[in-house]
Amino acid sequence: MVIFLVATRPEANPLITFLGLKPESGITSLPVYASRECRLVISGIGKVRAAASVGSMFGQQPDQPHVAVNMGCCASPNTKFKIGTVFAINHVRDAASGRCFGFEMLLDFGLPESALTTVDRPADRTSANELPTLIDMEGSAFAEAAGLFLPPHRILCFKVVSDYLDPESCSRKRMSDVMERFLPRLERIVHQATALQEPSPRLSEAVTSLLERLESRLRLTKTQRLRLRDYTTGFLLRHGRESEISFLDRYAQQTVRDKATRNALFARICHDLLA
Amino acid sequence: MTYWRSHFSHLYAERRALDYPLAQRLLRRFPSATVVPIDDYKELFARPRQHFQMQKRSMKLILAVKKDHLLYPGSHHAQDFGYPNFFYNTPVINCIYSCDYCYLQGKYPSANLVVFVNQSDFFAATKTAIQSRADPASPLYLALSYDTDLLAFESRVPFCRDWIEFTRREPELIVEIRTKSANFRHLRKVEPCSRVILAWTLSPDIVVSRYEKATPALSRRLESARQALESGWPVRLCFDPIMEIPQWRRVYEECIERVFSTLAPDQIRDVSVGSFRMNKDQYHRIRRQRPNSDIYYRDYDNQQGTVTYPRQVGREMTDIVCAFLERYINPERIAVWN
Repeated sequence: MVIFLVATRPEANPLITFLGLKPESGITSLPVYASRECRLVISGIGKVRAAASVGSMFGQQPDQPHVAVNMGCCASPNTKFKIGTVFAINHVRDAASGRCFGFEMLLDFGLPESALTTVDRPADRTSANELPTLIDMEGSAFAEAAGLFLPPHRILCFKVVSDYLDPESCSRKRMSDVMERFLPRLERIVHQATALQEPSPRLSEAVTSLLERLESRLRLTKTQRLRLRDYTTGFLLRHGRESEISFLDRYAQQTVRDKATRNALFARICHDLLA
Repeated sequence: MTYWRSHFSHLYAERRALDYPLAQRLLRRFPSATVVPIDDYKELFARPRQHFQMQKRSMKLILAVKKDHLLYPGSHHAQDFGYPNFFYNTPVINCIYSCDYCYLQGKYPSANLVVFVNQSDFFAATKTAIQSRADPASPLYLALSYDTDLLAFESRVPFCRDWIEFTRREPELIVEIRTKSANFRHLRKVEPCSRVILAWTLSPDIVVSRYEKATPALSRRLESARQALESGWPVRLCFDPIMEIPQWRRVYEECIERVFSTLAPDQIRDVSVGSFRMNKDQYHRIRRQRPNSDIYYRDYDNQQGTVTYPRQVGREMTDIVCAFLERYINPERIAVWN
């Protein structure tokens, strides 16, 4: 599942509408919207809220293959970037601690890239020289907190320029307007993010059911069951076709009355699977 | 459709590394790469929960300055070829190839390539090690290309050339550059040095296609080795690791016949042979991340922290491959890892 973290409601609204997300209740006290493949949490502004939201979203299901995406507005000290320009963030630095997080740029989203600096309070033009990159108030905390739960390749960050270090100019309407610039890219981002899953060859239902029959019929020990699954996986990786595993069927017809027979039979199965 | 970025689309560079000539060369070599300055390579390379196999799909380059451990004592998993002063170093960490059996997948947390740009410090450390070696009667034997494939990377950074010139100036130094590449052409104009051993890892085609992804075919490696011999370089052949594949006897016999129909046996300096083996912790780390290779679903023995074929199987494999080799090569020139 792709989980979006967005700081404010005006930023979130265009995404919620576009993705067809529905309010989800009862999981956390935070506003959460969800569909079958995406969830979106409105974290509130600042690092603490961003980190707490990440914890609340990912702490519940730490082992799930989620992808975390931070999307939102940012300020640019550089006026050469037009308001509404969308960036894929490749690196974020926390201005207060100096800590950095490099996003793994495995996928091409067809967007220009930039580094990001996360600050604790809204920055204005006076800090333009000290902050040469795009500036936001959540990115570093999002990345660091997400890094506690997810592998780095499943943590993504996108920002859209909403102002030139002039927070006063950034009305709710402007925030929603610039966030709409994400929409033409959103489908691709979701689709690509979904592809960021590690290889995991799972045994099909048919093979699993065959193994379960075999395990119960031969009364295999726990260790033997694990070995059987390992060898079967190896066999299927080597031979490619599931139909070739059907020879195990004949072992599943047999009955064992003692450990010695069971172990001898298991040794023969292992031998066949390692061939 | 998923759009994976090309390899080396990004170049992460330690700020202090940027001034080194090697870093400048790499920046020129990858002009369209996005350069991201960082403080310390470990903040990127050594962070937890990285996925080696996912990173292999789009490897990045990290330029760094190595501050310590410029030389390591040789591992007992590797052969010392009778040299008591056996060391290896890591001018580059990780490899552009993606072999299923490679221990690097379990040794390092990241698949991104780290290039250490402070080459002069590596040379200085090697000089010091030569002077202080434990057995002064024997030269210092240095394996340059264990945690990488330097020759495969030669078109990007001329590490091999630089180390060859360094070795030429150090009479008490012998280096081995081990490779699976077909890149001898990059050394073609370099004067051979009798103390630089170019070592090719050779595997039957079926092993190459099944387990040595992205590497050149056996024929191309052989052609490269042949050119090296023709130019007068000492050449070592490594049948290491030998893999227990179906009909491995016939497969390896045919492979060895093919090797020596291309290369003149009497010109080969020596041959090394070893069956698949790996440090136990590295093996388990790889198994977790590489569930799609059948190598990690077999029966192995744990022999004092080394995962390898059961002793009898491993011994049989090396004995039989050695017997095939002895048809061409004097047994004294065959080194075996047992």
